[in-house]
Amino acid sequence: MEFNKIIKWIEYGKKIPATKKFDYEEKFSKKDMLRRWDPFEDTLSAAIMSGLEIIPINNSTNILYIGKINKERQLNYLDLVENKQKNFIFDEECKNMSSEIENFQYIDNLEEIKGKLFSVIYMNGNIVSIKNIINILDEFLDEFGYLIIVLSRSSEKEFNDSFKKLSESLHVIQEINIENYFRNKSLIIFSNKKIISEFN
Amino acid sequence: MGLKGSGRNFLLKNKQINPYRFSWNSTFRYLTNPIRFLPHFLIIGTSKAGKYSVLSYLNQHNEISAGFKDHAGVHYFDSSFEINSISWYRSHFPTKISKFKIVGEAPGTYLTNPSAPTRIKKILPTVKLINFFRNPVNRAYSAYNHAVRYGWEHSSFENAIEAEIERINLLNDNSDMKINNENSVNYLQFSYLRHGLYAYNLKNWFNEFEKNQFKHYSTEELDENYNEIMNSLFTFFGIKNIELTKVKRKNVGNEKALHEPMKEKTREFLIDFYKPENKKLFRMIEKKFEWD
Repeated sequence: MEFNKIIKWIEYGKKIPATKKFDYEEKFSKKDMLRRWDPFEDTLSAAIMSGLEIIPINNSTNILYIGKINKERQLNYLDLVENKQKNFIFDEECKNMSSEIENFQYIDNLEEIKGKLFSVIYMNGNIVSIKNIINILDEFLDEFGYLIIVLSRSSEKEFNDSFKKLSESLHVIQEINIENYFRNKSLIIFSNKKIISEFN
Repeated sequence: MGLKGSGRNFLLKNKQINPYRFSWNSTFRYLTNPIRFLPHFLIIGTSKAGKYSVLSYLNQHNEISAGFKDHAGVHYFDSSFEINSISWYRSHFPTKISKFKIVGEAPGTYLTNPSAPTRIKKILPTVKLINFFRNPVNRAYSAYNHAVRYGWEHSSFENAIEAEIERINLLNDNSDMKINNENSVNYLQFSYLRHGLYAYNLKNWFNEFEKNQFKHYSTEELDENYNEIMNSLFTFFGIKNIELTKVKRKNVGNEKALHEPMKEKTREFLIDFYKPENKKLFRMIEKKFEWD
Protein backbone atom coordinates (compact mmCIF):
# COMPACT_ATOMS: atom_id res chain seq x y z
CA MET A 1 0.00 0.00 0.00
CA GLU A 2 1.65 3.22 -1.12
CA PHE A 3 -0.31 5.62 0.97
CA ASN A 4 -3.25 5.60 3.25
CA LYS A 5 -6.70 5.09 1.83
CA ILE A 6 -7.39 8.74 2.17
CA ILE A 7 -7.53 10.46 -1.13
CA LYS A 8 -8.75 13.83 -2.21
CA TRP A 9 -11.39 14.83 -4.65
CA ILE A 10 -12.54 18.09 -6.10
CA GLU A 11 -15.81 19.54 -4.94
CA TYR A 12 -17.05 23.12 -4.82
CA GLY A 13 -13.75 24.22 -6.34
CA LYS A 14 -11.89 22.88 -3.32
CA LYS A 15 -10.42 19.47 -2.68
CA ILE A 16 -11.82 17.70 0.32
CA PRO A 17 -10.91 14.28 1.71
CA ALA A 18 -12.73 11.11 0.93
CA THR A 19 -12.16 7.53 2.03
CA LYS A 20 -12.16 4.54 -0.24
CA LYS A 21 -15.27 2.53 0.55
CA PHE A 22 -14.52 -0.81 2.15
CA ASP A 23 -17.89 -2.14 0.99
CA TYR A 24 -17.38 -1.11 -2.63
CA GLU A 25 -18.31 -3.72 -5.14
CA GLU A 26 -17.56 -3.76 -8.84
CA LYS A 27 -21.24 -3.59 -9.74
CA PHE A 28 -21.44 0.00 -8.48
CA SER A 29 -20.40 2.91 -10.63
CA LYS A 30 -16.91 4.37 -10.22
CA LYS A 31 -18.05 7.36 -8.17
CA ASP A 32 -19.36 5.02 -5.48
CA MET A 33 -15.80 4.06 -4.66
CA LEU A 34 -15.29 7.16 -2.56
CA ARG A 35 -16.99 8.16 0.64
CA ARG A 36 -17.09 11.89 1.30
CA TRP A 37 -15.28 12.81 4.52
CA ASP A 38 -16.58 16.23 5.41
CA PRO A 39 -13.98 18.37 7.21
CA PHE A 40 -16.76 20.43 8.78
CA GLU A 41 -18.15 17.30 10.43
CA ASP A 42 -15.07 15.33 11.35
CA THR A 43 -12.06 16.65 13.25
CA LEU A 44 -9.57 14.25 11.64
CA SER A 45 -10.74 15.22 8.18
CA ALA A 46 -10.41 18.88 9.25
CA ALA A 47 -6.85 18.15 10.40
CA ILE A 48 -6.04 16.66 6.99
CA MET A 49 -7.31 19.85 5.36
CA SER A 50 -5.19 21.85 7.79
CA GLY A 51 -1.92 20.07 7.01
CA LEU A 52 -1.83 16.78 8.90
CA GLU A 53 1.18 14.84 7.66
CA ILE A 54 0.60 11.33 8.96
CA ILE A 55 -2.38 9.28 9.94
CA PRO A 56 -1.71 6.43 12.34
CA ILE A 57 -4.69 4.36 11.20
CA ASN A 58 -4.45 1.44 8.83
CA ASN A 59 -5.99 -2.00 8.42
CA SER A 60 -4.34 -3.32 11.59
CA THR A 61 -5.55 -0.47 13.80
CA ASN A 62 -8.28 -0.90 16.39
CA ILE A 63 -9.84 2.32 17.62
CA LEU A 64 -11.39 3.30 20.92
CA TYR A 65 -13.42 6.38 20.05
CA ILE A 66 -14.44 8.54 22.99
CA GLY A 67 -17.08 11.09 22.03
CA LYS A 68 -19.93 11.50 19.59
CA ILE A 69 -19.72 9.99 16.13
CA ASN A 70 -22.50 9.52 13.59
CA LYS A 71 -23.01 6.58 11.28
CA GLU A 72 -21.50 8.16 8.16
CA ARG A 73 -18.32 9.06 10.03
CA GLN A 74 -18.11 5.60 11.57
CA LEU A 75 -18.07 4.31 8.00
CA ASN A 76 -15.19 6.65 7.14
CA TYR A 77 -13.17 5.12 9.99
CA LEU A 78 -14.12 1.61 8.94
CA ASP A 79 -12.87 2.52 5.46
CA LEU A 80 -9.54 3.43 7.02
CA VAL A 81 -9.26 0.10 8.84
CA GLU A 82 -10.81 -1.69 5.83
CA ASN A 83 -13.43 -3.09 8.21
CA LYS A 84 -10.85 -5.54 9.50
CA GLN A 85 -10.85 -4.53 13.16
CA LYS A 86 -13.41 -4.32 15.91
CA ASN A 87 -13.72 -0.76 17.20
CA PHE A 88 -15.53 0.70 20.17
CA ILE A 89 -17.34 3.94 20.92
CA PHE A 90 -17.70 5.32 24.41
CA ASP A 91 -19.96 8.35 24.69
CA GLU A 92 -20.72 9.31 28.27
CA GLU A 93 -23.72 11.39 27.25
CA CYS A 94 -25.42 8.56 25.33
CA LYS A 95 -26.06 5.33 27.14
CA ASN A 96 -27.72 2.18 25.82
CA MET A 97 -26.82 3.06 22.26
CA SER A 98 -26.41 0.43 19.62
CA SER A 99 -24.55 0.90 16.40
CA GLU A 100 -26.02 -0.18 13.09
CA ILE A 101 -22.51 -1.08 12.02
CA GLU A 102 -21.11 -4.39 13.11
CA ASN A 103 -17.50 -3.36 13.67
CA PHE A 104 -18.27 -0.22 15.64
CA GLN A 105 -19.72 -1.20 18.97
CA TYR A 106 -21.07 1.20 21.60
CA ILE A 107 -20.09 0.60 25.21
CA ASP A 108 -21.79 2.13 28.26
CA ASN A 109 -18.85 1.64 30.54
CA LEU A 110 -15.12 1.28 30.04
CA GLU A 111 -15.26 -1.77 32.33
CA GLU A 112 -16.81 -3.64 29.37
CA ILE A 113 -13.51 -3.52 27.49
CA LYS A 114 -11.22 -4.09 30.47
CA GLY A 115 -8.02 -5.84 29.43
CA LYS A 116 -8.24 -4.71 25.78
CA LEU A 117 -5.47 -2.62 24.25
CA PHE A 118 -6.01 -0.17 21.39
CA SER A 119 -3.56 1.10 18.82
CA VAL A 120 -5.49 4.40 18.58
CA ILE A 121 -7.53 6.16 21.22
CA TYR A 122 -9.44 9.03 19.70
CA MET A 123 -10.76 11.56 22.22
CA ASN A 124 -13.22 13.88 20.59
CA GLY A 125 -15.54 14.82 23.41
CA ASN A 126 -15.66 16.99 26.47
CA ILE A 127 -12.53 16.42 28.48
CA VAL A 128 -13.41 15.78 32.12
CA SER A 129 -9.89 15.94 33.50
CA ILE A 130 -6.40 15.26 32.27
CA LYS A 131 -5.94 12.82 35.15
CA ASN A 132 -8.91 10.87 33.83
CA ILE A 133 -7.41 10.86 30.32
CA ILE A 134 -4.05 9.65 31.59
CA ASN A 135 -5.80 6.81 33.48
CA ILE A 136 -7.61 5.76 30.29
CA LEU A 137 -4.36 5.85 28.33
CA ASP A 138 -2.54 3.82 30.99
CA GLU A 139 -5.22 1.17 30.86
CA PHE A 140 -6.15 0.97 27.18
CA LEU A 141 -3.42 2.43 24.95
CA ASP A 142 -0.96 0.02 23.38
CA GLU A 143 2.68 0.78 24.19
CA PHE A 144 3.27 1.75 20.55
CA GLY A 145 -0.17 3.30 20.17
CA TYR A 146 -1.33 6.82 19.40
CA LEU A 147 -3.63 9.26 21.11
CA ILE A 148 -5.60 11.56 18.82
CA ILE A 149 -7.16 14.26 20.92
CA VAL A 150 -9.17 17.38 20.16
CA LEU A 151 -8.61 20.18 22.65
CA SER A 152 -10.48 23.44 22.94
CA ARG A 153 -8.47 26.65 22.86
CA SER A 154 -11.30 28.81 24.24
CA SER A 155 -9.23 29.16 27.37
CA GLU A 156 -5.58 29.43 26.41
CA LYS A 157 -4.53 28.64 29.99
CA GLU A 158 -6.55 25.40 30.15
CA PHE A 159 -5.27 24.41 26.74
CA ASN A 160 -1.66 25.04 27.76
CA ASP A 161 -2.10 23.08 31.00
CA SER A 162 -3.67 20.10 29.22
CA PHE A 163 -1.08 20.20 26.44
CA LYS A 164 1.79 20.38 28.93
CA LYS A 165 0.50 17.51 31.08
CA LEU A 166 -0.10 15.25 28.09
CA SER A 167 3.34 16.13 26.68
CA GLU A 168 4.90 14.94 29.93
CA SER A 169 3.52 11.40 29.46
CA LEU A 170 3.42 11.16 25.66
CA HIS A 171 5.41 12.38 22.68
CA VAL A 172 3.86 15.01 20.40
CA ILE A 173 3.80 13.95 16.76
CA GLN A 174 1.87 16.87 15.31
CA GLU A 175 -0.30 19.70 16.55
CA ILE A 176 -2.85 20.99 14.08
CA ASN A 177 -4.94 24.08 14.48
CA ILE A 178 -8.33 23.16 12.97
CA GLU A 179 -10.14 26.41 13.71
CA ASN A 180 -11.02 26.91 10.04
CA TYR A 181 -13.45 24.02 10.54
CA PHE A 182 -14.01 23.77 14.30
CA ARG A 183 -13.97 27.00 16.24
CA ASN A 184 -11.10 27.32 18.73
CA LYS A 185 -10.11 23.68 18.35
CA SER A 186 -6.78 21.99 17.86
CA LEU A 187 -6.14 18.34 17.09
CA ILE A 188 -2.99 16.79 18.46
CA ILE A 189 -1.50 13.41 17.73
CA PHE A 190 0.64 11.94 20.50
CA SER A 191 2.68 8.78 20.38
CA ASN A 192 2.95 6.44 23.35
CA LYS A 193 6.36 5.27 22.15
CA LYS A 194 9.24 6.38 24.35
CA ILE A 195 11.61 8.59 22.40
CA ILE A 196 15.04 9.46 23.74
CA SER A 197 15.53 13.20 23.48
CA GLU A 198 18.60 14.62 21.75
CA PHE A 199 18.42 17.67 23.96
CA ASN A 200 18.41 16.25 27.52
CA MET B 1 -30.31 18.61 -4.16
CA GLY B 2 -32.84 21.39 -3.63
CA LEU B 3 -32.95 24.83 -5.21
CA LYS B 4 -31.10 26.37 -2.27
CA GLY B 5 -28.32 23.78 -2.49
CA SER B 6 -27.98 24.22 -6.25
CA GLY B 7 -27.80 28.00 -5.83
CA ARG B 8 -25.12 27.63 -3.17
CA ASN B 9 -23.04 25.33 -5.38
CA PHE B 10 -23.39 27.69 -8.33
CA LEU B 11 -22.16 30.65 -6.26
CA LEU B 12 -19.28 28.65 -4.82
CA LYS B 13 -18.18 27.59 -8.29
CA ASN B 14 -18.57 31.07 -9.81
CA LYS B 15 -16.79 33.24 -7.29
CA GLN B 16 -16.61 36.26 -9.58
CA ILE B 17 -20.39 36.77 -9.51
CA ASN B 18 -20.93 35.60 -5.94
CA PRO B 19 -22.43 38.66 -4.17
CA TYR B 20 -20.70 37.70 -0.93
CA ARG B 21 -17.28 37.76 -2.58
CA PHE B 22 -17.90 40.34 -5.28
CA SER B 23 -15.40 43.17 -5.61
CA TRP B 24 -15.28 45.87 -8.30
CA ASN B 25 -11.51 45.94 -8.07
CA SER B 26 -10.98 42.21 -8.60
CA THR B 27 -13.63 42.08 -11.35
CA PHE B 28 -11.93 44.97 -13.17
CA ARG B 29 -8.57 43.29 -12.81
CA TYR B 30 -10.00 40.00 -14.02
CA LEU B 31 -11.63 41.59 -17.07
CA THR B 32 -8.41 43.40 -17.98
CA ASN B 33 -6.18 40.39 -17.44
CA PRO B 34 -5.28 40.00 -21.16
CA ILE B 35 -3.41 43.32 -21.07
CA ARG B 36 -1.60 42.53 -17.84
CA PHE B 37 1.90 41.18 -17.34
CA LEU B 38 2.77 37.73 -16.14
CA PRO B 39 5.72 37.96 -13.75
CA HIS B 40 9.24 38.35 -15.11
CA PHE B 41 10.74 37.15 -11.84
CA LEU B 42 9.75 35.10 -8.82
CA ILE B 43 11.42 35.15 -5.44
CA ILE B 44 10.91 31.47 -4.76
CA GLY B 45 12.77 31.09 -1.48
CA THR B 46 12.65 31.23 1.33
CA SER B 47 10.15 32.09 4.01
CA LYS B 48 11.45 33.89 7.12
CA ALA B 49 14.37 35.18 5.09
CA GLY B 50 13.62 38.86 4.71
CA LYS B 51 11.51 38.92 1.55
CA TYR B 52 9.71 42.11 2.58
CA SER B 53 13.05 43.89 2.85
CA VAL B 54 14.01 42.60 -0.58
CA LEU B 55 10.73 43.88 -1.99
CA SER B 56 11.30 47.29 -0.41
CA TYR B 57 14.65 47.51 -2.18
CA LEU B 58 13.30 46.28 -5.51
CA ASN B 59 10.40 48.72 -5.41
CA GLN B 60 12.81 51.65 -5.10
CA HIS B 61 13.42 51.13 -8.82
CA ASN B 62 10.70 52.98 -10.73
CA GLU B 63 10.57 50.35 -13.47
CA ILE B 64 9.89 47.48 -11.08
CA SER B 65 6.67 46.36 -9.45
CA ALA B 66 7.55 43.70 -6.88
CA GLY B 67 4.98 42.11 -4.59
CA PHE B 68 1.70 43.79 -3.72
CA LYS B 69 0.33 46.41 -1.40
CA ASP B 70 -0.51 44.07 1.47
CA HIS B 71 1.14 40.78 0.54
CA ALA B 72 4.38 39.62 -0.97
CA GLY B 73 3.08 36.94 -3.27
CA VAL B 74 -0.01 35.40 -4.85
CA HIS B 75 0.88 31.80 -3.89
CA TYR B 76 -0.68 30.66 -7.15
CA PHE B 77 1.80 27.88 -7.88
CA ASP B 78 1.59 26.29 -4.45
CA SER B 79 -1.79 27.07 -2.87
CA SER B 80 -4.32 27.77 -5.56
CA PHE B 81 -3.05 26.34 -8.82
CA GLU B 82 -5.81 23.76 -9.06
CA ILE B 83 -8.66 26.08 -8.22
CA ASN B 84 -7.71 29.30 -10.01
CA SER B 85 -6.99 30.01 -13.64
CA ILE B 86 -4.01 31.67 -15.26
CA SER B 87 -6.28 34.67 -15.98
CA TRP B 88 -6.91 34.97 -12.26
CA TYR B 89 -3.16 34.89 -11.62
CA ARG B 90 -2.46 37.48 -14.30
CA SER B 91 -5.13 39.78 -12.90
CA HIS B 92 -2.88 40.48 -9.88
CA PHE B 93 -0.15 42.17 -11.90
CA PRO B 94 0.13 45.66 -13.45
CA THR B 95 -1.02 46.34 -17.01
CA LYS B 96 1.42 46.48 -19.89
CA ILE B 97 0.58 50.16 -20.32
CA SER B 98 1.72 51.03 -16.78
CA LYS B 99 5.14 52.59 -16.07
CA PHE B 100 6.55 49.19 -15.02
CA LYS B 101 8.82 47.14 -17.24
CA ILE B 102 9.55 44.33 -14.79
CA VAL B 103 7.03 42.74 -12.46
CA GLY B 104 7.36 39.93 -9.99
CA GLU B 105 6.13 38.38 -6.82
CA ALA B 106 7.81 37.01 -3.73
CA PRO B 107 5.82 34.24 -2.06
CA GLY B 108 9.06 32.77 -0.74
CA THR B 109 7.35 29.41 -0.42
CA TYR B 110 7.57 27.97 -3.92
CA LEU B 111 11.06 26.59 -3.28
CA THR B 112 9.82 23.85 -0.96
CA ASN B 113 6.73 22.85 -2.88
CA PRO B 114 7.49 19.78 -5.03
CA SER B 115 4.77 20.61 -7.56
CA ALA B 116 5.78 24.24 -8.10
CA PRO B 117 8.75 23.83 -10.52
CA THR B 118 6.81 21.86 -13.15
CA ARG B 119 3.81 24.17 -12.87
CA ILE B 120 5.97 27.27 -13.27
CA LYS B 121 7.96 25.75 -16.12
CA LYS B 122 4.73 25.15 -18.01
CA ILE B 123 3.40 28.69 -17.60
CA LEU B 124 6.54 30.83 -17.19
CA PRO B 125 9.34 28.91 -18.94
CA THR B 126 11.73 31.86 -19.13
CA VAL B 127 11.00 33.43 -15.73
CA LYS B 128 13.93 34.59 -13.63
CA LEU B 129 14.13 32.78 -10.28
CA ILE B 130 15.64 34.32 -7.18
CA ASN B 131 16.51 32.80 -3.84
CA PHE B 132 17.38 34.56 -0.63
CA PHE B 133 18.66 31.83 1.66
CA ARG B 134 18.87 32.48 5.36
CA ASN B 135 21.10 30.46 7.65
CA PRO B 136 18.76 27.43 8.09
CA VAL B 137 19.45 27.24 11.83
CA ASN B 138 18.15 30.78 12.40
CA ARG B 139 15.42 30.29 9.82
CA ALA B 140 14.08 27.24 11.68
CA TYR B 141 13.93 29.16 14.96
CA SER B 142 12.32 32.14 13.30
CA ALA B 143 9.67 29.90 11.68
CA TYR B 144 9.01 28.26 15.04
CA ASN B 145 8.56 31.63 16.76
CA HIS B 146 6.22 32.68 13.98
CA ALA B 147 4.11 29.55 14.60
CA VAL B 148 4.06 30.23 18.35
CA ARG B 149 2.95 33.82 17.77
CA TYR B 150 0.05 32.64 15.61
CA GLY B 151 -0.99 29.96 18.13
CA TRP B 152 -0.12 27.06 15.81
CA GLU B 153 2.57 25.65 18.06
CA HIS B 154 2.60 24.97 21.80
CA SER B 155 5.63 22.70 22.11
CA SER B 156 9.08 23.92 23.03
CA PHE B 157 11.40 24.44 20.05
CA GLU B 158 13.29 21.29 20.98
CA ASN B 159 10.10 19.20 21.19
CA ALA B 160 8.82 20.67 17.92
CA ILE B 161 12.07 19.67 16.18
CA GLU B 162 11.89 16.18 17.65
CA ALA B 163 8.27 15.87 16.55
CA GLU B 164 9.25 16.80 13.00
CA ILE B 165 12.13 14.31 13.01
CA GLU B 166 9.74 11.64 14.31
CA ARG B 167 7.28 12.43 11.51
CA ILE B 168 10.06 12.18 8.94
CA ASN B 169 11.10 8.80 10.39
CA LEU B 170 7.51 7.54 10.55
CA LEU B 171 6.92 8.51 6.94
CA ASN B 172 10.13 6.80 5.85
CA ASP B 173 9.38 3.61 7.77
CA ASN B 174 5.60 3.37 7.33
CA SER B 175 4.39 4.25 3.89
CA ASP B 176 0.84 3.40 4.95
CA MET B 177 0.84 6.33 7.36
CA LYS B 178 1.44 8.79 4.56
CA ILE B 179 -1.48 10.90 3.49
CA ASN B 180 -1.62 11.76 -0.15
CA ASN B 181 -1.92 15.34 0.97
CA GLU B 182 -0.64 18.00 -1.37
CA ASN B 183 -1.93 20.71 0.88
CA SER B 184 0.61 23.50 0.74
CA VAL B 185 0.29 24.00 4.49
CA ASN B 186 2.51 20.95 4.91
CA TYR B 187 5.36 22.64 3.18
CA LEU B 188 5.08 25.77 5.28
CA GLN B 189 3.76 25.38 8.76
CA PHE B 190 5.17 22.06 9.80
CA SER B 191 8.58 22.12 8.19
CA TYR B 192 10.91 23.97 10.52
CA LEU B 193 13.74 21.63 9.58
CA ARG B 194 12.76 20.53 6.08
CA HIS B 195 12.27 24.06 4.83
CA GLY B 196 15.98 24.62 5.45
CA LEU B 197 17.10 21.65 3.34
CA TYR B 198 17.85 24.05 0.53
CA ALA B 199 19.90 21.73 -1.66
CA TYR B 200 17.23 19.04 -1.53
CA ASN B 201 14.53 21.53 -2.47
CA LEU B 202 16.60 23.27 -5.13
CA LYS B 203 17.33 19.99 -6.93
CA ASN B 204 13.74 19.85 -8.21
CA TRP B 205 14.18 23.30 -9.72
CA PHE B 206 17.50 22.52 -11.37
CA ASN B 207 15.79 19.58 -13.07
CA GLU B 208 13.33 21.96 -14.74
CA PHE B 209 15.18 25.23 -15.35
CA GLU B 210 18.52 26.32 -16.77
CA LYS B 211 21.05 27.42 -14.15
CA ASN B 212 21.35 30.84 -15.78
CA GLN B 213 17.72 31.56 -14.86
CA PHE B 214 18.66 31.67 -11.15
CA LYS B 215 20.29 34.13 -8.79
CA HIS B 216 21.10 33.08 -5.23
CA TYR B 217 21.92 35.31 -2.29
CA SER B 218 21.98 35.01 1.48
CA THR B 219 19.83 37.12 3.73
CA GLU B 220 22.86 37.78 5.93
CA GLU B 221 24.73 39.55 3.12
CA LEU B 222 21.70 41.68 2.25
CA ASP B 223 22.15 44.14 5.14
CA GLU B 224 25.73 44.95 4.20
CA ASN B 225 25.68 44.63 0.44
CA TYR B 226 22.15 45.68 -0.45
CA ASN B 227 23.28 48.08 -3.17
CA GLU B 228 25.52 45.55 -4.86
CA ILE B 229 22.97 42.72 -4.59
CA MET B 230 20.03 44.73 -5.85
CA ASN B 231 21.98 46.21 -8.73
CA SER B 232 23.13 42.74 -9.75
CA LEU B 233 19.43 41.88 -9.89
CA PHE B 234 18.65 44.97 -11.95
CA THR B 235 21.37 43.90 -14.40
CA PHE B 236 19.86 40.38 -14.37
CA PHE B 237 16.50 41.95 -15.30
CA GLY B 238 18.11 44.10 -18.01
CA ILE B 239 17.29 47.48 -16.51
CA LYS B 240 19.53 50.35 -15.41
CA ASN B 241 21.33 50.32 -12.06
CA ILE B 242 20.43 52.87 -9.38
CA GLU B 243 21.66 54.03 -5.97
CA LEU B 244 19.42 52.58 -3.24
CA THR B 245 18.46 53.84 0.18
CA LYS B 246 18.93 51.40 3.07
CA VAL B 247 15.69 50.06 4.55
CA LYS B 248 15.20 48.67 8.02
CA ARG B 249 14.72 44.87 8.06
CA LYS B 250 11.05 44.02 8.56
CA ASN B 251 9.67 41.86 11.39
CA VAL B 252 13.06 41.44 13.03
CA GLY B 253 12.36 43.65 16.05
CA ASN B 254 9.23 41.74 17.07
CA GLU B 255 11.03 38.46 16.99
CA LYS B 256 13.93 39.61 19.09
CA ALA B 257 11.73 41.30 21.66
CA LEU B 258 9.36 38.38 22.17
CA HIS B 259 11.56 35.34 22.23
CA GLU B 260 14.43 33.91 24.16
CA PRO B 261 17.61 33.22 22.22
CA MET B 262 18.01 29.65 21.00
CA LYS B 263 19.68 27.25 23.45
CA GLU B 264 23.32 26.63 22.64
CA LYS B 265 22.90 22.84 22.63
CA THR B 266 20.01 23.12 20.20
CA ARG B 267 22.03 25.41 17.94
CA GLU B 268 24.91 22.94 17.93
CA PHE B 269 22.51 20.11 17.03
CA LEU B 270 21.08 22.12 14.15
CA ILE B 271 24.48 23.21 12.86
CA ASP B 272 25.47 19.54 12.64
CA PHE B 273 22.11 18.64 11.11
CA TYR B 274 22.48 21.18 8.32
CA LYS B 275 26.23 20.96 7.69
CA PRO B 276 26.15 18.28 4.95
CA GLU B 277 23.11 19.84 3.30
CA ASN B 278 24.71 23.31 3.28
CA LYS B 279 27.81 21.85 1.65
CA LYS B 280 25.63 20.36 -1.09
CA LEU B 281 23.92 23.71 -1.59
CA PHE B 282 27.21 25.59 -1.93
CA ARG B 283 28.37 23.08 -4.54
CA MET B 284 25.11 23.39 -6.45
CA ILE B 285 25.05 27.17 -6.56
CA GLU B 286 28.84 27.55 -6.75
CA LYS B 287 28.77 30.05 -3.95
CA LYS B 288 29.47 29.83 -0.21
CA PHE B 289 27.68 31.61 2.63
CA GLU B 290 29.29 32.15 6.05
CA TRP B 291 26.79 30.18 8.12
CA ASP B 292 28.82 27.90 10.41
